[in-house]
Amino acid sequence: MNIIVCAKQVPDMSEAKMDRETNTIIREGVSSIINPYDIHAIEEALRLKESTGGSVTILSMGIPDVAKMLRCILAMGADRAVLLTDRAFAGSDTLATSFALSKAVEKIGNFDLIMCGKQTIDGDTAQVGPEMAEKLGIPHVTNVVDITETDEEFIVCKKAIEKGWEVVRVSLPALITVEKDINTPRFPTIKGIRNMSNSEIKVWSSRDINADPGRIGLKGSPTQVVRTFIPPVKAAAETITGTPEEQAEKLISILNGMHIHIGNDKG
Amino acid sequence: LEEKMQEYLFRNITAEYEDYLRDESRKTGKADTISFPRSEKDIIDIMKQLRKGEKVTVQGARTGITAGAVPDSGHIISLEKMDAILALRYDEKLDCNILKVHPGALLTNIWKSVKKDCPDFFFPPDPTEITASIGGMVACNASGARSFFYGPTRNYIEALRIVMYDGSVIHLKRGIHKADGYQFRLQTDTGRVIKGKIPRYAMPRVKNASGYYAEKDMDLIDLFIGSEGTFGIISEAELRLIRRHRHTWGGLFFFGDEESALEFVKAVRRDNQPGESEYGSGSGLASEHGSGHGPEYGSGFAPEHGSGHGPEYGSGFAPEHGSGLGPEHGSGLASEHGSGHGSEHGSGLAPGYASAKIKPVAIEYFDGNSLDILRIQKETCSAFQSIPDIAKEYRAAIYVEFDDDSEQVLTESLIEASNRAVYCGGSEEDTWVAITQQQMDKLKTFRHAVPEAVNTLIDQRKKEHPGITKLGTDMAVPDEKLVEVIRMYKQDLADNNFESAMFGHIGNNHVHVNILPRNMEEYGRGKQLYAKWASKVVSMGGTVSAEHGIGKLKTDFLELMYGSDGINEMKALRDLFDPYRMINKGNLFKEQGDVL
Repeated sequence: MNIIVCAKQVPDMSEAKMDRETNTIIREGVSSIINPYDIHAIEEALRLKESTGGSVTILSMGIPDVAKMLRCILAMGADRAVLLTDRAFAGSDTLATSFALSKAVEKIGNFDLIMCGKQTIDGDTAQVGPEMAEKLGIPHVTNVVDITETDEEFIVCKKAIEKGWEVVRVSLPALITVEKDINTPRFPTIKGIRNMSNSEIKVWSSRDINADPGRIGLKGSPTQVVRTFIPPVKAAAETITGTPEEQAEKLISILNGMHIHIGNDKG
Repeated sequence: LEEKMQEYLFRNITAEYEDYLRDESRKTGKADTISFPRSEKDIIDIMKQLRKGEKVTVQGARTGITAGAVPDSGHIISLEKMDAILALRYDEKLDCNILKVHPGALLTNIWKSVKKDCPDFFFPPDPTEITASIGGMVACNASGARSFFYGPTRNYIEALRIVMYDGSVIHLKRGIHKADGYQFRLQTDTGRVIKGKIPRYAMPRVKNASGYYAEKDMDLIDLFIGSEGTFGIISEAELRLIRRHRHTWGGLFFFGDEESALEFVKAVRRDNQPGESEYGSGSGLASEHGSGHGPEYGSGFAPEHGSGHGPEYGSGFAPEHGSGLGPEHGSGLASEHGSGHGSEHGSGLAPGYASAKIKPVAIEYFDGNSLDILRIQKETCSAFQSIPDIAKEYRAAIYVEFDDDSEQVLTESLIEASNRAVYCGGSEEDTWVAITQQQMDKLKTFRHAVPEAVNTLIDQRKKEHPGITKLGTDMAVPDEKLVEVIRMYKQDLADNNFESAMFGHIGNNHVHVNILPRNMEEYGRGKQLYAKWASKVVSMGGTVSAEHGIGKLKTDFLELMYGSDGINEMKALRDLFDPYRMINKGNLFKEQGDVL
């Protein structure tokens, strides 16, 4: 199975702080990491490749520095990497990004499956994956927690929904976005770092993928951020008093009031 | 006024202050009063207020595990409020930055401050416990995994201010105050002259945190570092920051048996090691010692140290900078590589083996039982689920870490380490490599999980058998005794049918053997075994404590190591600085009147 995995470099949100004036992320001095969900997509792609053969190509869009991140992914065992980098891409919203990525996918060609993380931790939109699938005219499944069956023509995925799972059979080529629960990512291996030093990273500009200049970057981004704000935290604490038994009783009734059922095995 | 000061500084021990009666050793002591000085002046005032002979226990962050900060009576001086990071300056002569701090500054805050204000430099000591205070780290000469390359805290202390029992202050600067042979003379700011003799005992030629540092012509600041607070109270320290490498990468190598893992340890550290002959020759101790910073760090490497820094760093070389090796080093390597006769490793190495040199900064060990503990933890604790499964055939793992500016060099180092691992029976496919911060953090979670799991297990067993405490060793032996000592541990653990876990700083032949007693009978036998190991290790030329210190828990072992003569020399020295035996009495040696 030939798989393309989309990966994004994001600021390490555990370090990042919000600018209280502009309500945007302060990116200065914050280190960059691979979007955590994407690592799980990479891992799943590598596992599929190991069981079915084929190849894994990593696709990313960003500043030239992202090549470093791509090298680290090659060390996990991916076969090749493509980086879209061009000033013309700057300011892309999810629509423009998914357009550019889908053009790159067309150029890579010959794929069975595209995998993305469920969402990125900086934008949190979860839109780019599904939008790419629409542009490419292929089916997609989001929030995948397991791939239970693979075939030349289709895969069967288990997808997390609000109160359980859905099992979806989807014909290939397709795009899926994955949850963290899907696997435990591997560490790079020695073979991987040998691979890393020998593999080349393809760097493509907007021209290389024949992207219509009106559909990328700021021009191709209709999204207007009207307002961003930090939601007020409404925290109120209630102190429960009494004997331990009384406290437990009160706590149970509060939780029941919140429709949280406390199991009682004694029935 | 005096009364006011008394009120401001001295507080009675009430329930509020109970935490100050214990430290991470989980031992609890007693005290009458406690103070929280905010300046050196406060410390001086406190010392002047105390009755001559009143016991004073000095505390940093109480993260030590040998009860060094546990009081047995009298007064407690907690330095936790004296935690300021005072000043940063560039020292042209040393070509490095110097950070001046108060003793209560926590390691984690020192690192944060350096990262912010001086991002190209760092303070290397890393004893894992990052909430340790710098005063505590200096007092017990803390080290840790990366001290394999960087050496212990000692190597990064440039100056100390120490308040004596009488409120006078000694200001020590590295390179300024030195012993003349075995004689020394120091003067306090009040003009009190302290004259005396450096002990003549020979320190073991291994990583060591047991007893006073003592050698001919020594820098006197080294007398205070690792003295476990028995001479005076550190009121200020100047730390040497060295240039940071841009990248740190690590590899975890798995082995089917422990003997193969030990072979790999020898193979992976050989480029760091000076030739054994240097230590073997009788001249070693006396003459070499003068020029080496403790044997284990004779190979040590404070690269930026270079000139103007006194002989104790003279032998340091700068492998990663590629500049010349010390002469003794060059010859050591040559003989080792040339004839391959070193007992450390056999001949017949794989092609290309000897060509690429690698310089790990840390070499850590996990035995089969440690891996089993992790396997169980992974099943039961969600925090460890980010760690991949460890194939069940593996019975030992070695973690190797490298620092460099060049990703190329790091890649080559890991590949070369892997070649050596494969040669020793390891597997290339199953090696875990960390090349990003995210991956390094994950490996760190793995490495810290074992000691945490051991502590949890002990706490569980303590509930049923309250007398049980952790039985974890901290001994190190010379390089050539590595296999012998590990075999001894394994055999004795098996003979006693003990549950155990063994892990730690194997690059320095320094592993923590943890006996996990299931009942009081086993606990008793475990303690006996511990004592037996201590005397065996001493007879191998090793140390009873390589990094935790002696504190109040291992005083018998220190005597085992240096004999009563050595202990008497130490006591005599202490009596010069603190004739009323007030400060941190009970640490290092037990004396009349000590309760704990």
